[in-house]
Amino acid sequence: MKIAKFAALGAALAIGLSACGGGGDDGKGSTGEDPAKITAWFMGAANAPQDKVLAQAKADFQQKHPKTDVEVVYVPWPDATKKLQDALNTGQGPDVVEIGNDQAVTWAAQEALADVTKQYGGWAEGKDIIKGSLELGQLDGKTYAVPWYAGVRVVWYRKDLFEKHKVTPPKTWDEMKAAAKKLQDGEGGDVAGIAAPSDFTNGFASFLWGAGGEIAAQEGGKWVGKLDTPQAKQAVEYYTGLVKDGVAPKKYIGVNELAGPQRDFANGKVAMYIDGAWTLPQIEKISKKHTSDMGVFTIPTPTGQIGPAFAGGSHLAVWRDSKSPNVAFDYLASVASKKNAKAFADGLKFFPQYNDLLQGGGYGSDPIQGPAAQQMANVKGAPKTPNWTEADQNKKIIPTMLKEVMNGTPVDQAIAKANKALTDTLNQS
Amino acid sequence: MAQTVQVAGPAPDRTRSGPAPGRPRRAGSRFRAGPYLLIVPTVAIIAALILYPIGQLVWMAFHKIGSREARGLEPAENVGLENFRTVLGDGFFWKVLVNTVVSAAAMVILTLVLGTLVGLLLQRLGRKMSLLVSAGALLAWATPAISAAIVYKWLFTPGGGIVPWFLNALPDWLAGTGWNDYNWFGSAGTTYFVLVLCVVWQGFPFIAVSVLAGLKSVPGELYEAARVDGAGPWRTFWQITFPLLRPVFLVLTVLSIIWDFKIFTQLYFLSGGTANRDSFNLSMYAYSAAVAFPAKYGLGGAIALILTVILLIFTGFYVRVMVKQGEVA
Repeated sequence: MKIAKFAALGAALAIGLSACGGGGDDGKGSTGEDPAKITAWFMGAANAPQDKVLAQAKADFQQKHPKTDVEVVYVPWPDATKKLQDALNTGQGPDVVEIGNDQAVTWAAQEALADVTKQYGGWAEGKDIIKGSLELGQLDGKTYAVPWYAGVRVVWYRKDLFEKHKVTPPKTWDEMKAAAKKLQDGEGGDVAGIAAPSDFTNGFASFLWGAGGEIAAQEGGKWVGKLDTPQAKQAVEYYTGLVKDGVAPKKYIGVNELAGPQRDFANGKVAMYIDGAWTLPQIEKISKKHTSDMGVFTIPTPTGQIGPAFAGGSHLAVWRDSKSPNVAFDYLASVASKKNAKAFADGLKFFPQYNDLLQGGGYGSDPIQGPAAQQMANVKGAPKTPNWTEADQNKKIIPTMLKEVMNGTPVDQAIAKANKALTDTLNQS
Repeated sequence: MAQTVQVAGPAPDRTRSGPAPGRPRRAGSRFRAGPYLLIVPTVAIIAALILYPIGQLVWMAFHKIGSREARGLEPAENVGLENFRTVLGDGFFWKVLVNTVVSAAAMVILTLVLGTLVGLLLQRLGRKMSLLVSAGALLAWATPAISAAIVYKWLFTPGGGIVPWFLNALPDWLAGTGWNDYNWFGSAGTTYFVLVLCVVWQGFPFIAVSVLAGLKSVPGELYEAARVDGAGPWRTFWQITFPLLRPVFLVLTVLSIIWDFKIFTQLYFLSGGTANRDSFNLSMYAYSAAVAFPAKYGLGGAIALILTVILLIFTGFYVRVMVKQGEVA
């Protein structure tokens, strides 16, 4: 029976089941001598301004540790969590690592980061760091991560298209929608009015807060989801309405702001999209064709004030498995020094995290930093519980809700489901 | 062949080997180490690569394991059935199961139908054409899953893909309008539509070649007789080809079920990572639970174990079929 044998061959393939192997490697700790090399992981794509600042930081660092080389590795943001998780499981991690400021505490709680309270205390410039920002890297009174930069999301727009169709940067929701329609119709459908990706909690939050809503609130020691309030519903209806009414393309349903909107904006296919004020180097990498015509304005609210926005940014930390934590902290301090942090923030359109630099930085006059600085004065964060990561990153509660409504699920039904899931998840132990 | 052999085969066989009743007893009475020694390397490799990870998986499914436990910084806590309660108690699991079962059913049926048709075609083609078609089909089979997924993602990309372009080029009364902005990956239904196409495209050549191999073993006189009796192609297939190749179809069906139940690579790529939970199948669900941040390997293990048990049921069925066929042949 030849066929039976042939098929039997396939059986081996058929029962090949996947499984994860757990690594068991104990962290060997030996401090003292300067190592030959330390490794630093930075998130995002490599770019010229950052390379320049990091080269300077390395030179500063090597004045103190001439024998130690620094290897810089760039990790794309979407892979960051997996890469760090692998490093944590295998013990094959970096010495210094950049960590999103909303996740610093969660990594610290996973015992991934070294306690640098002592080193931080001995670092002269560190005392000028903004207190609220520093707290994002502290857990149980110990410091695990040091602020490096922060930024806010704004609306990017094409100044040339706005001028051509006589549109001014909108202040209210209605104006923004009307502007999107006018631009889209004026360009004959070749350019979409605006991008409203569904997998974009941090962008949607501005609309939610702008309408006076909240994601969730703590009441009597328990988290209560606030997506079912009239304000939140108004925001959901407006944001999804951009897609349902055809001024934002359907192709961004199910994707984030980087997986489509950013590329299309860079290539001149979208007239407005929401992203960080820091995003210009990434846009330039895709295409420089339209960069000279790009501008930003603050995310509108229903009534025209500047609404709260999600504070984004990164901290720097020493990885717990580093064999030379003191040397690693010296490198961290070189990167986060006032001089280099300001050069970095200015180069990439972020804001440095030092009180004196932020106040005397002259950011108000910069065409991109100006609007961002206005927005920076009014920032908010996600619900402060480790479960937020579970609700947003793992369960995608808000992105799923937006996606469902964009695909035609009745608003009330999608909101009720999401709000219940949010309350349950935030309260889980 | 199975049935003809079944009817004609065993009877003369038995008379021939019948008069030697001492032979089987002699063979069974003495332990021979040779065969076992020969099989040791295979068993060792299978044990190391499959049995050990499965053992780990089972163990993990009953424990609470995060990164610290995975590294051995802390002992893993035995939580009994807690992981399973969490998974099965969540309505989401049943949605995922429906996705898995419905998509696998569609893939299996379409793969088998298309594969069989191509197999029949290959048999009728001349030598050169047959070689050309089977080489082309096997290329699809040999394409790595990730390459196929990339190709299909591109085919259906809004604005740039060839499918939206083609649908747009068709007259509006036939295909409607707005295809350039139609998002094939924006909802579970359409994502699975593309996924099923992709998997069927990759899966049918194996079926076709297997069916062809089966067809080659069917005596030509049977078809001649059918033709003489005036049977059309439809009747010939259902009354001669299908009954004779029933064991082949059974094996192919079970194999396809096993393969299509655990599709991962193509879905992961087409749906854009783990962001779109509405289009999860069991493999994606297990993966996303395990690699979540913070990691929940125990929970992922429980989901993977459920998938494994479902697959083992089909595998057990497959093995039974194989053993039966072995007896027959």
